[in-house]
Amino acid sequence: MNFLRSVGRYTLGFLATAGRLSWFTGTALMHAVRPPFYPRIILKQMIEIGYFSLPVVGLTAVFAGMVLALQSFTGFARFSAEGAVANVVVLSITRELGPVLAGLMVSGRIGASMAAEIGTMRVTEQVDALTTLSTNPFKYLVAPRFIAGITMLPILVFIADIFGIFGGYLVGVFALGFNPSNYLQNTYDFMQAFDVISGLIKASVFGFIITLMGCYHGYYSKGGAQGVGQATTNAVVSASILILCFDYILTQLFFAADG
Amino acid sequence: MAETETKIRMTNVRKAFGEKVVLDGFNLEVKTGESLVVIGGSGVGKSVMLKCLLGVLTPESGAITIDGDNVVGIGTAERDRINTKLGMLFQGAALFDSQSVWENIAFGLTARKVARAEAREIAMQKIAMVGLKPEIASLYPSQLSGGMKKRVGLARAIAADPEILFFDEPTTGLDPLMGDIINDLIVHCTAEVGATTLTITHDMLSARKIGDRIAMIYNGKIIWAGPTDEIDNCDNEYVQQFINGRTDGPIQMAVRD
Repeated sequence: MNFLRSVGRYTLGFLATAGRLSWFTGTALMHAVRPPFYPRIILKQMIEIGYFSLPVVGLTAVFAGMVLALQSFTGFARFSAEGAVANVVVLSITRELGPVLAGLMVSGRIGASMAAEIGTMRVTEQVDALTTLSTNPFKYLVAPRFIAGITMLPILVFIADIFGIFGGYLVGVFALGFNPSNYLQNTYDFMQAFDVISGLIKASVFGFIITLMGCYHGYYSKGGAQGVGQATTNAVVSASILILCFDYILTQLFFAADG
Repeated sequence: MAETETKIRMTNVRKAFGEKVVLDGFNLEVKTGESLVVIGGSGVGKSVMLKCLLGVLTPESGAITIDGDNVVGIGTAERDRINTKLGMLFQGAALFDSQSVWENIAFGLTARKVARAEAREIAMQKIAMVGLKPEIASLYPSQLSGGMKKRVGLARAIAADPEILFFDEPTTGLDPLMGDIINDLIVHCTAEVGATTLTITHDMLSARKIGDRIAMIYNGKIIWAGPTDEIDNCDNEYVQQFINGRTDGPIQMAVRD
């Protein structure tokens, strides 16, 4: 009986969370597309997400590109296909590593700070105070972050793509002895528009996931400092897992047809 | 007569969290222009009552009306309209950390499309009204003491001259002198803006000073209500135990639940 009871309790808990998350997402999206907007807050969030994440995302991308070139060179040297290094770098960075690494880094940086900020506002009643001051918390807190996340992540990832390919180029040319113009020519020839575009679409979805998890966990945090800490952890962990899940789902959708 | 009109009415309100019933068959009436103080121990449902009125929580059953309009289960637009009549002073002041003092006070005004310059002017008036110096207008909440935060919170609550003011434990966390200053300010400011007020507190000094009428909440219901000067002579044992702060009596403090 105890077993059944705990199964029942977990099922109910899961359904309640799923329902609450769906409601939250729907409400937030509705407020994100309907006026009034808060241009100043949207801009502030865009700068926070887009501009201040640049160093972290850029560094991650450079090193990812560098290590990718090094590793694939080792692998390809075994069957004398070293020439494919540039192709592997550009394909992996634009399709996968750019969006996923940028997404994970931004979820650590932005998802956490959103959950902490909104969570603190929740436990100190600032969220309720918004309501009493003719301001809808969804419109004021959640919608601007959604808009900024969905629009800024693709831009960040585009920059990450450039940095990643550049990292591969550095290692290829200076460590592995490739001819610079050949390497660039290989990269250019092999790069397809859809590889980049699919990565940017992924980035947008990841931006949505990061802001959704940050806002959701912050919005429902309770119980003071510990609750806010918990919300921050949950926001980062859930966003990271969802990013990896959706990365697979989107890859399947985009590339299942052409293999 | 205008004075006897009902401003806020809660009828048979029930609110539970899971199996824990907080409000059960809760009835409350606040008349236009009066100041009602609701007293009661910790965790008896005072805050939940206030959150139901603000629309932050939705009761499972029962009716709540403000100015005769139902406010339970209404849409966002309608709720926004009701909220323009309300002002609230939160227990921890709940000032927005990222905004300066005057921006905090003007927040509700700018949200209602009052021009920034005009909103700033009104904010400065309210700063003076709560006895603060104009210099603090550009400070941030983290630079203020507890008493100053409460004053700024009060200034923000009255900024838009609301018809109804809610005070959540206005003196909690303040020293007795500052508490008394806040009490005086509340009496003075509400008279100035002519608002109906509903205060929740467990501070009897504050309750006697602010309230025209006092109601006591226990076990999710109002168990006694009457004019402030009658509370000492009422024959309700619960009220007597509470206002005299005795440990022995009908109220059993739930040490754990």
